[in-house]
Amino acid sequence: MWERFVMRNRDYNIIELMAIIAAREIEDRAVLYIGTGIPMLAASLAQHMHAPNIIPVFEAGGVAPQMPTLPTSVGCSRTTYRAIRTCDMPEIFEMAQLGIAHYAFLGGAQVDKYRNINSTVKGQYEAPSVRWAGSGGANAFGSLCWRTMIIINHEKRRFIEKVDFITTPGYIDGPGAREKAGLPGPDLIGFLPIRHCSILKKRRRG
Amino acid sequence: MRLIGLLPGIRLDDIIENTGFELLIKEDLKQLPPPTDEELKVLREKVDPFRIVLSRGDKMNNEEN
Repeated sequence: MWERFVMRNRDYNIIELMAIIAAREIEDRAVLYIGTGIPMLAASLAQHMHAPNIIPVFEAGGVAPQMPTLPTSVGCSRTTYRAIRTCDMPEIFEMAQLGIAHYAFLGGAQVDKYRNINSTVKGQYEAPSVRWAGSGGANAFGSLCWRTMIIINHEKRRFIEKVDFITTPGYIDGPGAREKAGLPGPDLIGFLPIRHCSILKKRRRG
Repeated sequence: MRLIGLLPGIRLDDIIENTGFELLIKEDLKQLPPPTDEELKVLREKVDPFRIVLSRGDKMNNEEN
């Protein structure tokens, strides 16, 4: 799939495509909780293009900065450039608990059919074959924001029946489980549960 | 999880083949429009001029070629 994509699209690469498609989904004035990498590209692009009044929030404390230069991580000093506030991490999560965060914008390593994301371990938690960097803010963001956007490379080993570990709960184990757990769901405001910008890369190995 | 749109250059079969579970598929599947020149220009010249993140996509291209 990816090979065909490369052949057809010499004029932009896959990261550029993912960032642009994701940026189009961002509405002006939205409060966005943003993770590192492609989500930042998308938010910054939206801020330059059609959504100058978005409020990007970063888990390390930057609230509503301008992003003339791309931050390299959620703790980068560029996440506080001309920010309206800098605070600490619990306060960022508290703001999400208050229900003012429209979107969580996350990456991850695995996602399953109920939109649970794993960014913590591959294999068993006690004896993982790979330990990723999660959760970071991924659990609180995905649990508490009204709508979650996820950007993950579309590969069979990532889009699986059941994730090895639930870092970010989606619909957990089926209809009603999210509500039962007391988490705000996209259903409450009639949004689609996932805006799936995933994509299109096939590696030779694995 | 429900598929609601296809990115430019990707077919439905590609998506199904690369998904490890049975995907729900919306009846009137959207074909998402490709990036415009303006979007690419802003992304490359203003958002990430040093290609800190964008260069990861170049690597993916090279791996496959």
